[in-house]
Amino acid sequence: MAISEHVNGGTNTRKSMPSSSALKPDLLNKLSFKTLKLKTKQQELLIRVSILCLVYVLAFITRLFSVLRYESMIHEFDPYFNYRTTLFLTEKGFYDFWNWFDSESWYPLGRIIGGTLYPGLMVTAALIYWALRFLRFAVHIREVCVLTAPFFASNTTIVAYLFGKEIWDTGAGLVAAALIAICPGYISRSVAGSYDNEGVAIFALLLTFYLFVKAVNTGSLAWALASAFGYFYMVSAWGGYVFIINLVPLYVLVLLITGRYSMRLYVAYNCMYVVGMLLAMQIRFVGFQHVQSGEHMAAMGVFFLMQVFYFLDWVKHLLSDTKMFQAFLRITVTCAVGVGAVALGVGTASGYISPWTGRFYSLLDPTYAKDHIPIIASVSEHQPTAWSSFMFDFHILLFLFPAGLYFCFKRLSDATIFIVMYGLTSMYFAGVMVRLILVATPAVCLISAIAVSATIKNLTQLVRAKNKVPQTGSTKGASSAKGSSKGSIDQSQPFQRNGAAALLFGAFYLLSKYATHCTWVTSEAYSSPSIVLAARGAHGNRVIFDDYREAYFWLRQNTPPDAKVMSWWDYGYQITAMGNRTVIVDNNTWNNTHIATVGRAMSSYEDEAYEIMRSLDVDYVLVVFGGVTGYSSDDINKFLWMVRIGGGVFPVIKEPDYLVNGEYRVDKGAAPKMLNCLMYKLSYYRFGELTTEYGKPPGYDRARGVEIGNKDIKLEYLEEAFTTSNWIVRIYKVKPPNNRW
Amino acid sequence: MEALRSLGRLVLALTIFSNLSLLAYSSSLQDIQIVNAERRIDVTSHIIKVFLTLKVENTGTSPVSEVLLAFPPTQVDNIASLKAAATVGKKKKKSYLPLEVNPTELPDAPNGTKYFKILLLNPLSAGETATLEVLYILTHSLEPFPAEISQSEPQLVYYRDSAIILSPYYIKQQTTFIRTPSTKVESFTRVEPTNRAGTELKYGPYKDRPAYSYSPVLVHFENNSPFAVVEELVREVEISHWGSLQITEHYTLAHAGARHKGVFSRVDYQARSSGVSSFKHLLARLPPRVHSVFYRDQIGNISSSHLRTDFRRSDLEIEPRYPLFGGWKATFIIGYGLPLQDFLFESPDGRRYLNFTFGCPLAETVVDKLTIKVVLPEGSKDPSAVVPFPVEQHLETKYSYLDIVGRTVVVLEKKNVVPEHNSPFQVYYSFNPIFMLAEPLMLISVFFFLFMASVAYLHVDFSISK
Amino acid sequence: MVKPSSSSSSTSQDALALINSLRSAYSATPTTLKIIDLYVGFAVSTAIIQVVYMALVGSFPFNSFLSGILSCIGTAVLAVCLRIQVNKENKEFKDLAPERAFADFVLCNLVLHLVIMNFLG
Repeated sequence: MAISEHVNGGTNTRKSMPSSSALKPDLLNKLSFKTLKLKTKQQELLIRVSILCLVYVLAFITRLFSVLRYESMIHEFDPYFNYRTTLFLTEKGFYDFWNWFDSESWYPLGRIIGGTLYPGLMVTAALIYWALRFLRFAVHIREVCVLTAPFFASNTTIVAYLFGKEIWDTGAGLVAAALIAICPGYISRSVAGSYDNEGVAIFALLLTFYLFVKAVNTGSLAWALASAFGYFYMVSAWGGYVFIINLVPLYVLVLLITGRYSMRLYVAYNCMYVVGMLLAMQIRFVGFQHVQSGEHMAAMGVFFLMQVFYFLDWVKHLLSDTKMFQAFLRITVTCAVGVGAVALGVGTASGYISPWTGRFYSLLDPTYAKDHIPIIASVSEHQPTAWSSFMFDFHILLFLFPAGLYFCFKRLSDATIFIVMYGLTSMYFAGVMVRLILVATPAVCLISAIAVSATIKNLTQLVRAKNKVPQTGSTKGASSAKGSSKGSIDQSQPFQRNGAAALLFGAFYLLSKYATHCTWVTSEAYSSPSIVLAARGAHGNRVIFDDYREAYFWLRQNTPPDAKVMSWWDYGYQITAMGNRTVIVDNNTWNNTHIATVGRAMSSYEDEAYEIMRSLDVDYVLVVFGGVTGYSSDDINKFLWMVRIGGGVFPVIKEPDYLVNGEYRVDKGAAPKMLNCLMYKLSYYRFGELTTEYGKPPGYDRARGVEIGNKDIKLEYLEEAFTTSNWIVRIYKVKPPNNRW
Repeated sequence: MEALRSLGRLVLALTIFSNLSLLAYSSSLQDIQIVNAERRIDVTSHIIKVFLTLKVENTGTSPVSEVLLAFPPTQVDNIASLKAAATVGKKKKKSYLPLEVNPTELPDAPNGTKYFKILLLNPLSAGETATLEVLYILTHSLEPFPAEISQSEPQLVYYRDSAIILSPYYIKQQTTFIRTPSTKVESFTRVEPTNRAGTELKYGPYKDRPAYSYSPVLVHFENNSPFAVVEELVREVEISHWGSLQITEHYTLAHAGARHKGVFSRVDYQARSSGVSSFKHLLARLPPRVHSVFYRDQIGNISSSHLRTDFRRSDLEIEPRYPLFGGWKATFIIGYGLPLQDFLFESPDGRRYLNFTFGCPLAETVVDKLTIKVVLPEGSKDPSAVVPFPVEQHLETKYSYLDIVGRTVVVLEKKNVVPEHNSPFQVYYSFNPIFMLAEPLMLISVFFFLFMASVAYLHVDFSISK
Repeated sequence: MVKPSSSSSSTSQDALALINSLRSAYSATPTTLKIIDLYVGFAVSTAIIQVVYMALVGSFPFNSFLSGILSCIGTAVLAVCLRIQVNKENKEFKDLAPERAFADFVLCNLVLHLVIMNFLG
């Protein structure tokens, strides 16, 4: 079943009529479709559709591990904020959502939620919810939120198929769809329950790229308009849209420089840029950044450059005399470059064009964040990527990627240049930050799919070829070359067929290992809800630690409704969503000073901390402690970041005070300031009376593996309000000031 | 002369008649005399059970068909259930025949006393005696004192009642026994003769007390039983003719004992030396053959529960996320499915009826406000409910999966429900079997429309130019 | 030494020759394309007028200014795209029907102006 290849993409594949009609009876016999009496084209369509359906279902169900093991709930921290806003949207309607000012977080500042979030995800989930309700399926909004990410992952596979078809051919498209359905790099952020922006954003990203490449290939305004809408969806979904608005102009620039430009490029880029920019500015959070921020200036620069370039091209076409044209060219180019440089310089110097923000600047200079912005550096997802992470998330795709690059360079076209650029830039950024492996995944899958598809096609042609009589003479050189490409065996290499068959088996073995690895990774590493911890009990039964929800529910039911809770910013979203209480700082981290105040309170002695807590109206303090269960993501392990962030704003807090010889300890040899600071006291209050492990003294901290230094802790201004059954979350009440007489 | 004599006879007849009628009116109360009254008050848990045995004698001349019980106005609001039975037979052959009890009002009740009227099966003729057994249940009658306790203190409560049984009749002899959960009694009012032996406090015997005599007593004792009160319970019973009954119950549970103040220390709690008045486990008794049980709350599933099934009943033991101390609340949802054939039957007149148990499945809990909603399938008509005790009824509509016109809901509300109310009730409705096809037809038509649309799309030419 | 005048005159001569050849080449274009070019010129000049006005008056409210500018520039760019697609000399768009190109142009303009209306404030 040879599918005829098309150079330069763009023309549709419906016109394919393979010339292998001689093989038809063989095919019919082999594939036993005799009973159905289908023609080859229909067989191919049937196989394609069934593969796509299976891949669609596979992408959905492989993300359902945690729903089956635990329950249908929202994971992690950020998704709880998204869930809370979606709930608000479905209950109150779009107008209230768009203009929402939330006074329950960042007390006493409040947060303008309507203007500081990316609404794409919430609006998508709300639309699906309303559509299902209209069709009389009475589902709860939480189920819709939990299953949004797998649903969009399935849609991403379809877009990957279309994109692969556009770049190479349908075979590559099918392989790309299959690879991206189970690739761990994508699964990590789109499991069921991970209701986060990336789940929808990767779909929007791939869709935008596909529509843009289609527009460049066909030169049609309609496709360019569709890609503008895809861009709009991406802007509404994720802050990573900056990648698109920089990659596409870079691509245009590369095409202009290498001389591969054409009229279709002009049509595609201009329509997408202008309409896309306008649509993007409708999102309040993005605002006027497209004309004011340094990160978006590349697109504008390329836009103007393109106008000049094509104008010159048109003038060159009008004028037949080259010498005059050279003069004209010189004048125009100097003018344009001069004007552009002056504008850029004035804009940057006057501050009108804001420079690159810290978040994106740290991508270009990875050491920037550690020195200047400790909050960004403290997030575990922002650390540079290790090789093991690459292997873990990509497996065989890692070495198929260079192979695919080779194939792309062998057959350069507008589309393949695009995918090569996408792949290389995204791999660079994936190396800088672990979180961005997600953005590289579609590119890697597509390029690897090209490698796989091209290799397997060649091998299968060799396997299925008949022994043709070797053509003589060079007169038939061209036709014989064509004939050999259709599958005759080169007689000079014996055992070619056997070698090809062996290689095919090897390829299939590798792909099956890939599938096994992906399933294992999904099951073991990426399906934990992180709010519920599970372990094996003494009898092999499963023991569930549901301490987080226990504490939040206690807060919700047994504290006054206007109580304010102070905790580290990691838990802010969860406390607001599940505990329904006002928090001081949360995961949005938009105000560094406020977070530093909390960090300072946690690192000070109890009386200083009490002053700070009184000034913030704090009623309860929440601390996460893993000493009894050995849970290692607790506040004592995060404590040094609190010190660093607090010390970044308040020089009173000095990091060396809490270390002993540069070492961080909590046992007897710890620094005295460490043993008496508020965080230590709240974590270890009355812990010295508890025996946690057989054969160890009381007060043995299982997470740090030491016996704590200060066992006799007395609290003067706080009292213990609640501790969960495994001591993971501890809540303290701040006592009101004593009566003076 | 003869006219005068006839007039005199008329007057005599009239006076005798009026005297007799007056006598009859006043003697309707004075006719009955309680020969012996024994009252046993059980205050071991927060649901107080009072067993009253009355030996009633008809001292008047005309037969008496009803006996009145009197209660002080403060106690009447807390009476959750009142049942009476007549004893028949002696010793080994005793059997109890239930009697009808209705609340009633008397115009000249002293101090706002409220009454209940017991209707006897056979009128009691003059000079006869009958023995009546009365059981009434009081809720919210134990007042915690001190009102706030810390984690290490036990819970002490007040019980207020009268040593003399309040009655509109003359009581010849009476005794009252109060049984406390333990021997730790702080204090009790002495109304001689009073005696205390172990866990039983005996007031009496008192002889010859007139009607409406009342002697208040106060007992202050330790009661650490779980004061589990469900403040609001909404039970939704959804009938689906496809073979199952789906029940969803929304609970608001609170600890109604002495409020917890101060520190909650997990160390002390885990050492089991404190928090004696708190409770952690609740037992729910569910019907047998229950399936798909879930126990969750607003923020997710609660994993601490155990289900044991039997062919006679199922026991679901649930643990709220945290132990409940005084004043603490928890809300949760329990849901389960039951096979339809155990509960839905066809009545002789062609209507269907659901036979289900009223009340709350949790053992030993008081429900302040219970709402039962029976959701009938779409297309049901003429719903009506038959409940053995008075409830408030009204109808609602609910929209669920694949509903167009909505489902009728029969809503029954009752206040102050105790486990004694777990008796069956019926809801009747008529249903035309043709409505069962509504949902499959909807799904079939949707798929049909989808296929037609795709066929049309493939065959219509949408191009702009030739 | 006597060259400067001739060099300056030669540059001006060159410029004149340039303009003349441009004008003659341009007059050979078909009328339909000239109409589109007129439209583009009108849109760009409107944009320039708006920029001058903004420089005089100030840029508050910024979203209105942006929507005005972008509507002009957007429709100019779309008209240029239409011109490219309709121009018979472009081999790449040989099999694209002019009705289809015009329909695309109208659609894109519709979307553009709807968004502008939302953005105007």
